[in-house]
Amino acid sequence: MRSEHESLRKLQAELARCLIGHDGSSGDCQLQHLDKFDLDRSRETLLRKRISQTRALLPKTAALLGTDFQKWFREFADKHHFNGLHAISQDTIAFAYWLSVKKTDRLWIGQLARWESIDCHWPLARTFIKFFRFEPIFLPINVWTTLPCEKSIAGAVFVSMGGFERSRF
Amino acid sequence: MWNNNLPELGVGIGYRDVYRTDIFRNHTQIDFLEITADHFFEPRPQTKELLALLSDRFPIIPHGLGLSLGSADGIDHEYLKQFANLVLLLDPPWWSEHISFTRAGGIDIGHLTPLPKTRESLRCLKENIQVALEEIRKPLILENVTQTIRFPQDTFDEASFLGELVDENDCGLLLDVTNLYINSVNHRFDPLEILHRLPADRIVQLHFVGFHHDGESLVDSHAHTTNPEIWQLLKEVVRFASIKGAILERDEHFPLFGELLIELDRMRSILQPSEAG
Repeated sequence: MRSEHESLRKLQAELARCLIGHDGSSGDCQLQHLDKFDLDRSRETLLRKRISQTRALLPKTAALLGTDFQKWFREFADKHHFNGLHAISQDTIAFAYWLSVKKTDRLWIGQLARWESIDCHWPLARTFIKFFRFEPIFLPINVWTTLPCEKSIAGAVFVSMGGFERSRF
Repeated sequence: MWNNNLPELGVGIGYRDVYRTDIFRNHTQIDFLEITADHFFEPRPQTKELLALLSDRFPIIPHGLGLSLGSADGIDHEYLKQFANLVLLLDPPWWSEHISFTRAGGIDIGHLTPLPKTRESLRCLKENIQVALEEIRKPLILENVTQTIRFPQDTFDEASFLGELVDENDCGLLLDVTNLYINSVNHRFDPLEILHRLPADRIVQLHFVGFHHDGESLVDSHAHTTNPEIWQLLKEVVRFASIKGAILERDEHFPLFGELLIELDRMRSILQPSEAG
C-alpha cells in the first residue's frame, strides 16, 4: 500500500512539473506511459488559462498588442519559469518586464505593461519604486503609442495604504 | 435518501465580478449564487462588503478550486482553515470541491488535474476528505472534472469511481453535466449508461455550460452558450435524480446578461416544470 501511495505521489509530482513546463523527465518517468497528446493538450490548456488571466490583468496592453499579445506571451512562456496559476501576479510582472526589454519598434508597450502590472505587486510588497521612461500617470490610452520614450525618465513610489488602495508620490 | 434534508435552491449562476450590477438588478430571476471560495479568503474591506450584500440577497454556495482533495501530499491546512472561516461566515447548506489535485511535489499548479481512477486515489481522497470534514462540518459535494489525461492504471470507470467515492465518504455529488458529456464523447462511452449507474440520491447540484470542439476533441472552456446535447442530458439527469440546485457557469466570452437569464429560465423549466413562466 505504501509503494502504491509513493507511486501516486511521484506520478502527481511529475505531472505537475510537466504541466507547468518544467523538464520533469527522468529515467523511470511515469509520464512515458501516458498519452503524449493528452499531456500536450493539458499543457496547452494551462498556457491558454495563463494567457487569459494575464490579458485580464493587462487589458490595455492586450488591446493595443492585438494578436501579438498571445504570440509574444507564448514566446515569453517558452523561456520563463512558471510557478502555477496561483503565481499569476509574478508571471504578469515578469511578462511586463520581458516586454519592456524586448527589441521592438513599439518601445512604449513595455512601459504600458509595467504600469498596468503595478496592481500585481500589492500581494508581494507594501512599498516599491518603479522608474518609467516617461511620466505615465493620467495619460489617455491613445497617447501611449506616440510618446518619445527615450527622452525622459520618471520615478514613482507606490505605497499600500491598507487593503489594496495605493498612493503615488 | 441522502439528500432529503437539503433545501431546494433552484437555478442560479456562478458569481463573476463582471456581472455584479446585473446580478443585483435581476435578483428576482436568480435563485442562488455560487462563489469561488478562493476569491473570498482574507477578504479586503470592499470584498467583505460585497459578500455581505450578496448574502443578504441570495443563498450562497462556496465552491473551492484549490483544496486539492486528490493530492497524495495531503491538503494545505492553511487553505482549509480559510475555507472553513468562509463557510462559517456564510452558513451554506453545503459546500463543494473538485475530484482532482492542484498541488503536487511542492508545485501549486492552480489547475484542476484529473486523478487516476484507482483504489489508491480513493484512499488519498478519503484521507483528505476526512481532514476537511473535521474542519468544515457541513455536507460536502464533490464535482467530476473533465478527464483531460487518460491513465493506463485506471481500475474503475467513471460511474463506479464516483459511486465508491461518495459512498465511502458520505458525500454528495456536484454533477457537472457538461464534463460528463465531454468525457463521454472524448473517451467514447454512453453518458446515460454512466448516469444511470450513479447513486441518484447523492446528486445534489448540477453545473452546466456550453463546450466547443477544438478540432480534436470537446473542450470545457466555460465560454459558450449551453449546447443542445447538454440540454438533452440535463433533462435526463433531472428525470433520474432529485436535484436541489443548478448553476450556470461562464468564465470567458461574457455575453449580455440577458442571454444568461434566458438560459436560467430554460433550466428552471426543466427543473421545476410547473413553476416556470
